[in-house]
Amino acid sequence: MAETKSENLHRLRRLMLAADEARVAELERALVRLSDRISDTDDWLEMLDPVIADALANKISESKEEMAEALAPVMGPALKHQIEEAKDDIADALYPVIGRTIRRSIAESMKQLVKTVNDKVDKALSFQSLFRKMKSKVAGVSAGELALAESLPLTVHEVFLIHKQSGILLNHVSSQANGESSDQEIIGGMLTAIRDFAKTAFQSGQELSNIRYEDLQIYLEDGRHAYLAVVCTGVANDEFLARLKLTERRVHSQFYRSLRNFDGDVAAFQASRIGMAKLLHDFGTDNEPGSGARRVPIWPAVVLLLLAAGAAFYYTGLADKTIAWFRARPAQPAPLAVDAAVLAAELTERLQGKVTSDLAGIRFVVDGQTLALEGQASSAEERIVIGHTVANLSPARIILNNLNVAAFPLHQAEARLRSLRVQFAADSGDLAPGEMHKLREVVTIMKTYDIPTIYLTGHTDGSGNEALNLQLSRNRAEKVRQHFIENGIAADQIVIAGLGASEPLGNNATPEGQQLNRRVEFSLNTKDTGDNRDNE
Amino acid sequence: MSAASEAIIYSKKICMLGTFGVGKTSLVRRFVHRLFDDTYLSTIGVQIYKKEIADLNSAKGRPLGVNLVIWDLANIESLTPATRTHFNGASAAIVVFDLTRPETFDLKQIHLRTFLEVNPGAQVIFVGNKTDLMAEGPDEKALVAIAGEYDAHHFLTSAKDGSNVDEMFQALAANVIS
Ligand SMILES: Nc1nc2c(ncn2[C@@H]2O[C@H](COP(=O)(O)OP(=O)(O)OP(=O)(O)O)[C@@H](O)[C@H]2O)c(=O)[nH]1
Ligand SMILES: [Mg+2]
Repeated sequence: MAETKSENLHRLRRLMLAADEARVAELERALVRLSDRISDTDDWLEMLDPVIADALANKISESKEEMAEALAPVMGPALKHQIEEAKDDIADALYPVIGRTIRRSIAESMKQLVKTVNDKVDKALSFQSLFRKMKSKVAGVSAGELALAESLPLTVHEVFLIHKQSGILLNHVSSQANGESSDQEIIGGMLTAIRDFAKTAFQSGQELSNIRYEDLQIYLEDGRHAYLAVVCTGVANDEFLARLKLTERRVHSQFYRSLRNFDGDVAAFQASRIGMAKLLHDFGTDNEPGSGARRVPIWPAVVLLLLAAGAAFYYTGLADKTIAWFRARPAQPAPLAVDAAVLAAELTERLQGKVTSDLAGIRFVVDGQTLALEGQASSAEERIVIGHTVANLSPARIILNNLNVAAFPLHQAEARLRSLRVQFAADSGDLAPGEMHKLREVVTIMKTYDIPTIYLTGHTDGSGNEALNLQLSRNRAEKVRQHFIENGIAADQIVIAGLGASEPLGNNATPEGQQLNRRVEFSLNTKDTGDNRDNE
Repeated sequence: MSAASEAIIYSKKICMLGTFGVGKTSLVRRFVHRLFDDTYLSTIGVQIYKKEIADLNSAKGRPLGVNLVIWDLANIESLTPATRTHFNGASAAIVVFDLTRPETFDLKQIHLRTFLEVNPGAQVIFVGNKTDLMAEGPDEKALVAIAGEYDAHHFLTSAKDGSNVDEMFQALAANVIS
């Protein structure tokens, strides 16, 4: 503080250059690593050459050229010189080089190659075993091991829906019970930064469609306002790519307005979860949440993958952040005093009966100033409510809401449908306020799971005479039917009935009970209508 | 279920703008991780942080929260098309000045105009940082003048002793929500 301003500035400059020096060294190391990997790839191509059909060989030699071309500027001594010279402006110096490198990126061309090989191999099984033997001979791995690796089907681990412009995470589903890292939102931002960077760097305006690291990949399916990022292992087939595209389209057609007028209200996208979960479900896995045995924990791998987007990463400085994930959090001032048992009891007291999630199963993990919630929530909405409630109850300044919402299989979708009773205003065929979103969710579930027929049963409260109530209950079901038809469900998929006041859910002596009774219920099975008071 | 459907949560992207060394990263780290570090590691490219602010405004009796997704950008003298994309979709900018260095108050250097072109209608907050270094109390004049020009809020902060940092982010969160 005694220093004068210019001394300060001088010191600042010095510190800054020192930092840059460290970064230059790091960059150089990264480039060397990159080049190692690339020359490996080259070897690999060579060793494959003799075993594959002509058409493929051509493809490979093409890629080789591309690689050589892409590499030349990276490895050229000119660049090293440039870095030396331009320490103050590393980013700008690297910018054009990185652009080209990514454009012809190893990831892209290798993915293409592997996919082509796999498609061919699918068609010629005998060829496959020859291929495998040759490969293992050259690579020195047992043929059995390779067979295992190759037979691993495509497995989707995580699906992100990300707002294209802002990088804000709109929704996320994970196949792992504890698969969520603390900050999926950050991943959304990082992917977007990389994507935008790549796009502007490719003068051709190509979209980055795939980021790959070893056996882990992120597929990016671009839409007008949002994109899907799917983290998976294995190699994608055409079916998956088509489904990915379809899922993206559905998100856009269903949420078009919310996407176009996006103002940060992520809750509006809750129902997109269903389609994303379906993708996870169909191309996932025996890994039901919690059952757990996976070869590698997925999050570090995702981070590695992002790191492997390598040069771009170093450019954007995101590497710091990702590397930091591997390291323990630095020591915090005073550890947070949280009594988990007390907190659990308070949480239960606040939310008992209001949510369906297993509150007792929630764990509270204190790390320095951070309180992390772990466990399962039964819906994305409840996940938020629980997070907020804990924020109110505890002194923690940072709350990591790691609660996971399980992707649901069909039987759960069915249970969900039944729990979505829509309520109506008194003596009226109009929905009660705030009930419309339930109809939207039902429509989404029907479309996503290709449900052939849905049964709608209208009910009334106990007031009024029986004939009128029968009519009113039917009108309510009819109202819902109309909404479904307007939203693309065929008329012959909908069967309606009105049961009047004959099957009350709540006590007709109280206003709350009456409100509960003014409803339409959903079912996939005609026998269930009127008999679906499942325990909640 | 009824409690659940009333939860409202927003996610907002915020960009940190300002010349090198003014304390952008330090302010974010203070706010998000409650940490401060005297060493200076200049940011290259962009780093992204996130913090949830719960219960901002319970006026309607509903839980209302904001996820601030904070993009801590490197100061880049000349914007390239790639670095410009970092501004996309932001709801607000926090423009940081170093009170000990008057030259950091030059708005041209920090591309505020470009930011507002990319995000018309975005909120802006002006911050004079490093109050702890101002022995005779900070001189607010320049800050007030600039904030007045943009009809924006301003704050005097110190990432080092933490003063006004939470207040500044809280005010911003309330602003981007309303
Ligand atoms: N005394 C004091 N020092 C500060 C304060 N805020 C930041 N600094 C110091 O100023 C230097 C620069 O801070 P950074 O947060 O890295 O600055 P920045 O704006 O992110 O810089 P770039 O990333 O290069 O654009 C560091 O040495 C900090 O420790 C403050 O409030 N008080
Ligand atoms: Mg910085």
